[in-house]
Amino acid sequence: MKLVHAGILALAALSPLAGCTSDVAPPDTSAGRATSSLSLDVTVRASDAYVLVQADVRDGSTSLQLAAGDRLSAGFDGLPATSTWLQRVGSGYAAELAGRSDTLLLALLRDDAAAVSAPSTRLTLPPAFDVVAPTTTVSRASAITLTWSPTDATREMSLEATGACIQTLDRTLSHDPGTFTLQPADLFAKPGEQLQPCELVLTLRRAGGAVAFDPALGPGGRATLTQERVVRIATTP
Amino acid sequence: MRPRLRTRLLVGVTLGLTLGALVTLGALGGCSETRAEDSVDVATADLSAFVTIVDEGAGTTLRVELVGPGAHVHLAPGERFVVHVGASSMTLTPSSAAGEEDVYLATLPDFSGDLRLDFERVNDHGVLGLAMPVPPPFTLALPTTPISRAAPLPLAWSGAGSGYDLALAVDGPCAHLPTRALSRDDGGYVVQAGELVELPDAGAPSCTATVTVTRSLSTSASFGGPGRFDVDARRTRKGTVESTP
Repeated sequence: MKLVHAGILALAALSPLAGCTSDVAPPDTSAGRATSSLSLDVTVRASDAYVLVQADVRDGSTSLQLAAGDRLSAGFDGLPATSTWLQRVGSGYAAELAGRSDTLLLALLRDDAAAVSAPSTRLTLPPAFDVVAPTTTVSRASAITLTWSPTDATREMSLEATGACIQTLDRTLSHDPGTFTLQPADLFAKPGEQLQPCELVLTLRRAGGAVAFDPALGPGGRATLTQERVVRIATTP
Repeated sequence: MRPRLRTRLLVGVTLGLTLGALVTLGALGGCSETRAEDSVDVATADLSAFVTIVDEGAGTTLRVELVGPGAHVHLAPGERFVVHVGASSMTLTPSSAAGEEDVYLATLPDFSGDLRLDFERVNDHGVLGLAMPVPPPFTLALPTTPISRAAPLPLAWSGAGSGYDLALAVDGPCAHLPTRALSRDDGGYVVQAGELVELPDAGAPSCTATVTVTRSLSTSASFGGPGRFDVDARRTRKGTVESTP
């Protein structure tokens, strides 16, 4: 038995040497790269209670892992106390900020004396909004109306409806009327769920906003900025 | 008279030939894959029929294609399709369109309820009383005054119903809604404010848009044996609205 274990351990120890990991390339890092060659690909999703910031540092089309001494932080503009370090998540970086704000500051800070920091990428979110939805249980055989304000006629709104009893529904409003009515004919039941009560999760999104990248960064930066509100409605057939 | 069943005999003969001869015969006989067979040569058990029923508000067209093993089948003299519409009946006639000589057609008067089809044969047993379910007819009512895309667009049609599929679409350069399936037929639907989009090449901000509502029903049954009897029935109604910003 011990021999078997020893053999497995030996094989495990040898496998890296035998080339089992040779096809996994080490990640590209920001080390030694000029800030002017770097760009940020940023996604910000703001709810009524928090803001999720995701950022990918790139050199051209290459996604980079930050080298030691390079860091990303995000906070509400004018409120330094809210600043939070972004953590490595998947192939990028992310942080969640509690609260609401229209403008965020994203900073790429570099400790290396030879490197230039980019502390002032300013992200202006599309206007926040509040949603009014039914608060009591409603029948899916009746119309379900959502309203929200303030409206912004210049921006597109999207709506997603999900639930254990319905097939996912997506709608896009090319301009913002401040209201949407979900009609019974919009909802397709999942097989076997036609007669079941279930909670509908309605997500309203407003995209847009503006970004001003720190001038120390290179070209090619992108930002997707979204206000998102989620309402949950208990329904019966 | 029983069918000569040329297809089956050919298969039997070719089984006894060498591979080379088979390939040669296959090349020659391969024409039967694209050339219509005569119904006198095909047993009812080897036939399938594919039916489309289209009503776009000005009469209904019934179209039947008869298909045998690998080819369309042309009706031999004495064999025919007969459609029953309520108490009346009509014999289908061959299409005069190029390339559709083996398609059989009838133009039906306004009707509601299901249709029935008879396939009358002299060379083998016929198939009578095949049910062809058709969604109920309806009329579409649309706003008669210009309507803003920033306002809801109410659509109404006669009669709610169930047991068929329902879809709508809006098509105009300044007001477009891709085809949308609806889960139930309540006799109306409201396109929400902001859902109609201007196409990139819309040009003028106002335009005439065509609203299309379709009830459809597809069924599949046996054609008196192992063959299929597929029916696609569709009633479509169209109207126009004046769309403004």
